[in-house]
Amino acid sequence: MTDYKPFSIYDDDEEKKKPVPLPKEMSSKEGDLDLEIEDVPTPDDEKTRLELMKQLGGGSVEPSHDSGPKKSSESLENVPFLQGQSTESVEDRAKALIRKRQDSGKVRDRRKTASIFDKPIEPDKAIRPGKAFWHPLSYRAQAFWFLFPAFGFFGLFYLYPMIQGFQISLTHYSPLGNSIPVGWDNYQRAFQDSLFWQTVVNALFFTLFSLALGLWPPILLAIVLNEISRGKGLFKVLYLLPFVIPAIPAANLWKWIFDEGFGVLNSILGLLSLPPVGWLTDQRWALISIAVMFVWKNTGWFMLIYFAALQNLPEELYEAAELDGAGIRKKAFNITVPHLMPILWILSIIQVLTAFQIFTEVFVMTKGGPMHATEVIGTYIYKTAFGTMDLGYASAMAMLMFGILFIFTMARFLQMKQTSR
Amino acid sequence: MEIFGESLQQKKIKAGPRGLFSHQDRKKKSVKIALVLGTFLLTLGGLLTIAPIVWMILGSFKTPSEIYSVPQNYIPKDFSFSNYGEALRLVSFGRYFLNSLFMCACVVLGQLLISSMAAYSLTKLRVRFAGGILLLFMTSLMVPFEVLVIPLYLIMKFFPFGPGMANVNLINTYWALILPGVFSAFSIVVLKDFYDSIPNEIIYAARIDSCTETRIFFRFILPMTKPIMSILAIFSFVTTWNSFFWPLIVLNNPDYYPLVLGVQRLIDTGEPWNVVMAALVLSTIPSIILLIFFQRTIIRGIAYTGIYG
Repeated sequence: MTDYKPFSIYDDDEEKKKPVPLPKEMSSKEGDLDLEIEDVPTPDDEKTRLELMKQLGGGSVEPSHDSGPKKSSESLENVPFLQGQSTESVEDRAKALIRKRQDSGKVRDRRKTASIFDKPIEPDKAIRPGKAFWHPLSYRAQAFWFLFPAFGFFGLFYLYPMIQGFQISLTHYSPLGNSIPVGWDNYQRAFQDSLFWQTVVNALFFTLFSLALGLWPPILLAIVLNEISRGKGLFKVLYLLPFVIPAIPAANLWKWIFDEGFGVLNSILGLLSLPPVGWLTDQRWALISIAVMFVWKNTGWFMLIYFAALQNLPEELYEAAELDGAGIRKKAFNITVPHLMPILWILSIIQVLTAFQIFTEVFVMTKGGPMHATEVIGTYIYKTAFGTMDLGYASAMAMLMFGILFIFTMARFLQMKQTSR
Repeated sequence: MEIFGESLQQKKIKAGPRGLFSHQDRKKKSVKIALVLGTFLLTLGGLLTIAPIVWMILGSFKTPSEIYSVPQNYIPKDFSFSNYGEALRLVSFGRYFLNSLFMCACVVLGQLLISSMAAYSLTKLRVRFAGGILLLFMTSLMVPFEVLVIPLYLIMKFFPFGPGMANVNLINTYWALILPGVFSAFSIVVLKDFYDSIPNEIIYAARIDSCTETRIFFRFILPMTKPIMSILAIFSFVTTWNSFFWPLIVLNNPDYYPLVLGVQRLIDTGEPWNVVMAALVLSTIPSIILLIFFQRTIIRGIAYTGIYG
């Protein structure tokens, strides 16, 4: 019934049939919970247990579990003292208490995490979790101190500013300490501020332009890049250049290219004998021009993400489709495109988020532009907060922006959570 | 997902998988034409991508009369370096460069250390509520920087943990540049996923050999995670190097300007375009060098972190 069969390297039936008894000291060792659960009682053990119970004089004396083989060491259903149906002996109660504490997390389950700093649990000793926690070498204290710096920085530079930002938005803020609480006045003001709504509309249009211009070329480029046999590395680096260089040189460079008088774009238009366009000074063109620059900067990055997705596409799919007689078009629309769809979603969410929060490019190229035509939320908040020092109103606008973006941030958050599992 | 040691090297050795076209497809005439057209498209795109950068370099060699001529003079007549001399005279590039380097080094080292410690604790040390803590960290990814900027500015102005727990003004110090960049939920999430793929048996074995957790972390875990660490280091380096909004708010003393901000300040004074272009080229060179030397890591990193969005 209680045979411990070691794995035999010999293909020998005799060897297999022969029961190997448990070592004496292993089966009789008490007090160690792991062994208690894992090992299987021998008839001798059962006898001694019953005797012990008689001596202690608690409850009934029936054998609590039949002597059949146990299912596994992991399943605790068959262990009677955990179920509470067992005899009410002192020993059993102590063990039940320890098990309960282990389940509640006050004492670690030693089967799951072994540490040399743990002494074997002794049932008759009081356990003081407080002391164990604060001892510098205790296991849980180490876990805590490893997490502490990140938690501190998170609290100080994300959580606290978040809360404080909301508080500031409810006041007429003065950094000297005499700020006046004004309730929801700042929010009301923002709702009535036509310029704020214009910035929102501008940001929306900017997002639309950058999606329309920037979402489809990387897919095409990535598919072509995946097909060509030579020069992949060169093209990758070439397309990545704008992504790596800082936004300041890029924006200033494009400011010169878009220059109405001396820019190269108007110079080329002049060669075609077309009238010059005020790319950054015309209200109709300014936002689109900035979107062009924005797309120029991100295309290589997006292309490489698509390219990586294509590289991960298992070639067996194509081969299976070819065996079934699928042509190029069927392969493209039934394998390649569906494979790239999730990436397209992720990248459009990223594009919306970054485009809505754009600041540097607009700040450098137009500073809010002709007649606020390129004023986006970022620049308006900057001007309100650090130009006119109206921190309360700027905070309220930032909070509104957070609210507007909430759906997209939530989508990205859920996506990231899904990926990281 | 797996970029753990061996599989990385395997990827390097293995030729890339085939694409849409099979060998039979490639023999067709239409496919050949399509491939040629595609290559042409790719080349055209590449040329459009680097044309502005080439234009910037050409512009940095032009004389003022050339740069302000109305049918634009495309190629400068003689390549003179006088614009660079002028730019170097106007901007103390060495100082700004070192400022940027110092800022990036501190942010990268701090971020990697703190993130990896947190990720180790969350995955391998069985912290209670580990999932909840990770979710809490990830909420910081949802917050637009515009929301944080004003309170962060106030925190830096009245930083509460000065000597003797007194308020100190950290505006115009390196601290103000470095501290807010150190926590990165993104690195924690990426590292946490990576640590999940490390087998627990390694850590158990080290514990049985009486290693403390600190020692396990520095001796076993950190060396094991070199590939992902290099990716995260490059990424946080580039973002910190390119950051403009936060330094703009926190600094007004030119001694502490990072390179990007210093160049923008020069441009704001209204220099002619040729000097501006020379300054821009000088401020772009470090990034280009970085890309050329670490292209493999950067490209791999984009492929790896792309899935996180």
